[in-house]
Amino acid sequence: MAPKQKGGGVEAASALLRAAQLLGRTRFPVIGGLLTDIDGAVAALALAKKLRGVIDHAAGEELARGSQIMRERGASPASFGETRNRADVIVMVGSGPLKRDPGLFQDLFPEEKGLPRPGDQARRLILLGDDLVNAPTHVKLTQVGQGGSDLPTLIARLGAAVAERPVGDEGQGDPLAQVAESLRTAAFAVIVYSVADLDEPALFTILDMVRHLSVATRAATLALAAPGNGDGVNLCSTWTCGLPVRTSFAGSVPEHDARRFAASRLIESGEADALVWIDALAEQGVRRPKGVPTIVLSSSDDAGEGEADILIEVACAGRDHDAALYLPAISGIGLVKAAHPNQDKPTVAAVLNNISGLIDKREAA
Amino acid sequence: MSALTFELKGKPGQRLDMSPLTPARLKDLKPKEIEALAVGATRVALTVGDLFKVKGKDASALRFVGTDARCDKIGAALTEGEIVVEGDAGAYLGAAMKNGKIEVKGSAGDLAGASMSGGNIAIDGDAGERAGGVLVGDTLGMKGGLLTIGGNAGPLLGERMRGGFVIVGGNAGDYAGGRMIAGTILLKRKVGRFAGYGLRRGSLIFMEEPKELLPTFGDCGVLEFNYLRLLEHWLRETGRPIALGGRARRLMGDMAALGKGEMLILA
Repeated sequence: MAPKQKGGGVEAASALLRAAQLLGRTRFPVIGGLLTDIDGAVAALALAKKLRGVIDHAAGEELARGSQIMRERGASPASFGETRNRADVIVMVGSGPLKRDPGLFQDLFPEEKGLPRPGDQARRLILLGDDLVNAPTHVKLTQVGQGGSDLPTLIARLGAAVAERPVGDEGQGDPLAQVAESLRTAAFAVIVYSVADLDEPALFTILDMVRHLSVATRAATLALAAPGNGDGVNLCSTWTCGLPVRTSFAGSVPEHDARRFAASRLIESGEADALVWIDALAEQGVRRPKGVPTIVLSSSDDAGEGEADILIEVACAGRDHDAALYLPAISGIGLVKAAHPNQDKPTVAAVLNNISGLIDKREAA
Repeated sequence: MSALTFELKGKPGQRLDMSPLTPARLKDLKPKEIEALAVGATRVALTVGDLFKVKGKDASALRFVGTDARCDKIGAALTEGEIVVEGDAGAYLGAAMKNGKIEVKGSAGDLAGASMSGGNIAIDGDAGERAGGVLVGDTLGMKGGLLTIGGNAGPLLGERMRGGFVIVGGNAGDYAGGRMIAGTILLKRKVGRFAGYGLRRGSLIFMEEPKELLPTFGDCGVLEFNYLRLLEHWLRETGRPIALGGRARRLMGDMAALGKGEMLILA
């Protein structure tokens, strides 16, 4: 299918030209969504810099929060493999991590015997907060605080118990004191959470807990990766301009602000005057902010035709073409071979670089 | 000499970066040079002259008239002089300021007084989230000075505060005084959930009992505090008469953090 433009099909070149015209006239565009591979992110950052606009990812809220935690306090992250192979006590904070990755239990607790690991305790899982569904039977499971306190309060109480500071009248019978004891006697405890579920102060308390435990034993955190290659794009942004997503290139130096430069806020408030929305990973349920002239780069077949001012079909990273993506399983960026190689459609990087070249030509003319 | 006054001519089509407009920066500039200062925050260049009617001469006292919530960084990194805002202020009001005085007749946006280390900010209206909190790129919140909010304060008030004094006349949002290391926050009305979460040291003084208290604070009972009498005296001397009395219920915490902070609920 040929790239589309509002009101009917036109040639690919014309769509690109119109996109370049639209962007050339803007004063403060947002490059959002960023559901793309590393090459696409590199091109998006270059375009944002050229247009002196803003970059944000669809999961920008949690990415910015995660970056803030790392910036202000630092962290002791464990990789996924290290957690699976070496952790004897795993604490999962709420059911958010499971909702994000339904296969998480099976991946963290494989049924077959694993590699040699520190300590001689049986591996166990402690679930803090929400009710649990489908726990595998071979896992020794303890649940604490389900249906009762909210997560921030449970985390605070666990933090106090880990540090052995007195809290109210709760004695040794307090299940949280028992969880804290398990963490202190663990050879390698890992606390698993999703940044999207927790407010910053609660996240900092988790980090303090890990820091405290690490004085006498080993402990670490495993934060679930953001959807849509969010961590890959965030890392790419950081190594390119020194700042995470939600960064503006309007001034003489890039400026990061998790609230002012959120794509949805910029568009709702009318501060941004155009949106380039990149959706090339076939992710479900990602909402595009609406209200300004929009160029959509999409790999899905039902990409809201008629809603975008200019719709450009692109290849799906990792499906149609090889792509560098953040892979949670290796806690790093790796190359994903195309599942069904298909060169009919251009990549996000190719489209953005083309638009960028056309803007240059237009400005030179 | 009359205060150097910047009157906004109309609603700007973009956010503004007002950080160049401080007494220290303007005192040696000629009117033409002031009008040429860039205050835009997009690639469309905007200067002071494009947006403001500039009157008056005394650069040690600035007046901003008719400003709105898009006027960011008013008095940011202020080191001397006085700024009066007759209107609203955007984000970063007085952020990282070291000295001087800022008075806002309207409300302020997020991060008012963030990471400030001295001086005095008085906001008549409300303040957004993270007032007295941590500036992007910094690791500590407000380190010194006085921040007064007449209306309501948003969530994360005084986050990671390291020193100074904050007074909130209205209500405060969730996580008031979160992760504080030192300093004092006086809350005259209600607070949201999780006040004092992660408090290491420092004092939260409540004139009204919070609806919810974290279980990680230990109740020490009602005690007499000469400190409160001294504080009341100082407030009265500096023109802020607030009756505190000398008795308060004291809760120590947050036991999840260092546990050496306190919440004083006036009795």
